[in-house]
Amino acid sequence: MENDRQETLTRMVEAHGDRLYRLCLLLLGDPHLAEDAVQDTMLKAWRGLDNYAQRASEKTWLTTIAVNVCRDYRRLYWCRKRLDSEALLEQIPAPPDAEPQDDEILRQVLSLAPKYREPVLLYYWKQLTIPEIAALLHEKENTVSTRLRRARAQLKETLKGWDDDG
Amino acid sequence: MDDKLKQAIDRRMAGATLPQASKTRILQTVTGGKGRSRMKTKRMMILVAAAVILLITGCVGVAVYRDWARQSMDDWEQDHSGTPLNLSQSYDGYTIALDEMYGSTRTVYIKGTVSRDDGKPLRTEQVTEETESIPRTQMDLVMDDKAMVDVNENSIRGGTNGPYVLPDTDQNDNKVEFVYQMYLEEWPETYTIIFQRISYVDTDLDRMQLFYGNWTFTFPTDWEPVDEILPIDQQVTLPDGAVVQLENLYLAPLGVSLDGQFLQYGQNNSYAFFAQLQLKNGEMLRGTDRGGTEDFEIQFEAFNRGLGHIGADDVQALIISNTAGDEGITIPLAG
Repeated sequence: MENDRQETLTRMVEAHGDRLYRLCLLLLGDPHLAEDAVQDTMLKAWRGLDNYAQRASEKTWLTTIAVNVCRDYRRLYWCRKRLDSEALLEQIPAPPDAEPQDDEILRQVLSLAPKYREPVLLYYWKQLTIPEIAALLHEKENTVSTRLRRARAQLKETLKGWDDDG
Repeated sequence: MDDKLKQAIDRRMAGATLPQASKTRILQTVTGGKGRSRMKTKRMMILVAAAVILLITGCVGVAVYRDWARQSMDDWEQDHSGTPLNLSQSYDGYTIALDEMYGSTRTVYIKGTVSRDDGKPLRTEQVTEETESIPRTQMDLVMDDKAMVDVNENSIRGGTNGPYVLPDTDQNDNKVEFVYQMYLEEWPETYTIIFQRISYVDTDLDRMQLFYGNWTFTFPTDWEPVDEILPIDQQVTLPDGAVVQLENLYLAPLGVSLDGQFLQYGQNNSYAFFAQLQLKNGEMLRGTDRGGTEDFEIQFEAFNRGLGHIGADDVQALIISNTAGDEGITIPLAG
């Protein structure tokens, strides 16, 4: 039984570790904090493994935990300092297939306030639905929709020309 | 926009991978806590938990934070009385009260309670993480950051920490306690706090309780500061060429902070700056820049990482560097 749990944890870290790390990195803006957040996510998942009812997919379940861990970090840490997108981008190796505009897009997403960045990442990047995001963030669906609309308007303004056909 | 944004982030973030060492650490940490023997005293457990987290992660973890908060608040209350606020607001069956304010020169700590108006026990989930010594009370209090914006419009820098709920010592009463920290470079005569949401799992009903509301408090900021101020008044040139003026170290019962200014930028006009406070007993407290402008205010680890009150006689040196990995420049503080 314990071996099964350990195998499950190992599989989850291998299958979801990178994905969760990227999400935490974009939510927290700090590689070390992001690593800690993934660790806390896995710790909470490990504790809740026996009660995990599979009402949501494992991917969504872990994403939910990770987003809330990051929210806790932002509240509890002395880390209200401004997210330095330039420093963060420098620390992430650019893959060969990265396109010239990718940095600017990421820079603008990172410049969004956390309450706008969260739904943008979950909706456009993780492709969750608004009801899923509302449940995950413990917010009303209208609130999520409004934040998405405002974030989209801000991105369209700062990324003028990029989304002309979108 | 949907696909373009997704594709751009996917492409650019593909290079960010969780380091293998981190994966190994996660597996060891998460599964390794089983069967770990427990220390006899709360104090020892807090210190060991702090040490374990610092060794593993190199920074302050949230897991033991609430223990430190409770311990620090208890220690504080033994030696100091706060400034009574005695404010309360009821909304949708829940009352939030701001009971007392504990102030240092720069930072104020508000202690308050959330209580059920029907008088029934407020029983929330009590979760003990692998790295914790006492259960963590699960309740989320969300505040409106607009309260800070109103101040910032007057160009006053600041930051907040919390609110977070303290470990619930009596599950049969109708309330839980919380603490909220705020720092401002200068304080206005009055300050407004707005609570917007209370959420918790009611363990009697086995159901999530979620209440949106508006619990607004405006109160005068006239506390009597009780911290020691240790003047530093030194210029330091960092390895990247930045010149920093260090002003004062503020040693308050619940935390230590340092203020100063950048006199000259380093390479790339960066504000890169990392400070550690070395204590005479060999302990080291990490600092974090709360500013992001030429003027800075560094708060060292919250609630002194459970080490208790740190006074001017306890500090050995400041260690200043560009990044956490640098060796740093040591500035002696001991007389």
